[in-house]
Amino acid sequence: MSASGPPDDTAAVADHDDAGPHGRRRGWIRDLLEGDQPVRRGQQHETSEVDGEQILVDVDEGVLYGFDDIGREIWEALSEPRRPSEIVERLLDQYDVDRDTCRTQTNRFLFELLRARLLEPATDAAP
Amino acid sequence: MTYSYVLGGLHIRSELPLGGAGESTVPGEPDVTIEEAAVPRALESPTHRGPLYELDPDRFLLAIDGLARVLVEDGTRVEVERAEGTEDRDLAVLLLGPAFGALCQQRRLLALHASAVRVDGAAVGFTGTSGAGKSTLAWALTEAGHPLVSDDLCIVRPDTEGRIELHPFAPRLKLWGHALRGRGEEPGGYDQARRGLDKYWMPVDDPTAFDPTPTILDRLYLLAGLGRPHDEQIVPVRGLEAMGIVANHSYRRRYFAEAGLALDHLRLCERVADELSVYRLNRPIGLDHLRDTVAVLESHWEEQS
Repeated sequence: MSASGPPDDTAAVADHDDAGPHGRRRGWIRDLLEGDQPVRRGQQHETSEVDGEQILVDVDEGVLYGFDDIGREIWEALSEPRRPSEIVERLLDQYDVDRDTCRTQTNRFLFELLRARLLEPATDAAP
Repeated sequence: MTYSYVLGGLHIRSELPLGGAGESTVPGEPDVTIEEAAVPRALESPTHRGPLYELDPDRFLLAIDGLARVLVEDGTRVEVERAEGTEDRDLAVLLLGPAFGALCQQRRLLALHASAVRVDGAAVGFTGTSGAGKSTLAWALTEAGHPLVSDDLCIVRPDTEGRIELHPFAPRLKLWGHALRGRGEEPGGYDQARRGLDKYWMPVDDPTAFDPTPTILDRLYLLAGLGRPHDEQIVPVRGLEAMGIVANHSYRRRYFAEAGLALDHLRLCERVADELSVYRLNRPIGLDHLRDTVAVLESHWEEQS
């Protein structure tokens, strides 16, 4: 369920969440996910559709993200704010996968989208 | 002296020669004029300022010490101030490269790094990174009887019915010296694409045969090497990958981003990727294999027609 840039592009994948241009301190995404805080679609996200496939766009970085079936499921679920645990429960209902794997993979996916600001914290009291 | 050109569908009237690229006798008002004039040293409030150029959505200023300063404005005017000793052909490189890229950005046009030949009345495009073999393959295809539509660069834009029109760039092939020598040609007989670069312009048989009118583009191939074994040589790609191929091979796309128009660029790519049939052409790299690649393509077109 990973998000992926086009194979020819240099999608910057960092192994830590950097503070980025919005001035949040390092590690805020990890804290958010570990704290099971609700997230929602980013105000600035842009989508594109090519050959019926939905593509998410990080306009600032020029990176495109495609979804596989599970990724699309998660994105659809986020049409309103959700806690990561709610999304995991939803996926466990539909897919034959163990809870730990599902949680790890879901969080990894949410992490990438948060870092690209395609998702954002749904609480105004964001760190 | 005034020269007229049609490049990528744009009618250009120029005080400077552009190296014989797409000279035209088409009458009418030009879309773009190129003149020698005094060019300012800086823009007032650019959205981007780099070491060689600065720009905002409607202005682009290129300044290369000892060579020239070039200002491109409103997608319609290009002004050039040359340094002492700069030759016309040096200016042509700047005008056909960065200045043309800026014109496209200002006019919200998508320029694609691709060569194209005509097959069954429509254009078939070949894109890929520099050195992937776009022009060399186009050359081999013209020798196999498929007329050259455009080389190196073209403008792609939807027509009123949403089909993609390809507006050609120039009736000549931009070839590496080794590709010419490999086919028994001597590069010395051709114009060098840029001073110091082993790349040459080879005119097609009859430059006056250049047809600047658009052709419908319906297929686009990404030239890939055989990095790993594949069963098929021609692999259809869709969605994200098709979009990535168009976006990654659009010419000077960074100008859009630097002008704050990244999203406009993306919407252009989206329409093109959605409409075209896009394929990855996996083939062995090397001039020895060109004939096989042409055969693979021809049988692919045969199946589809």
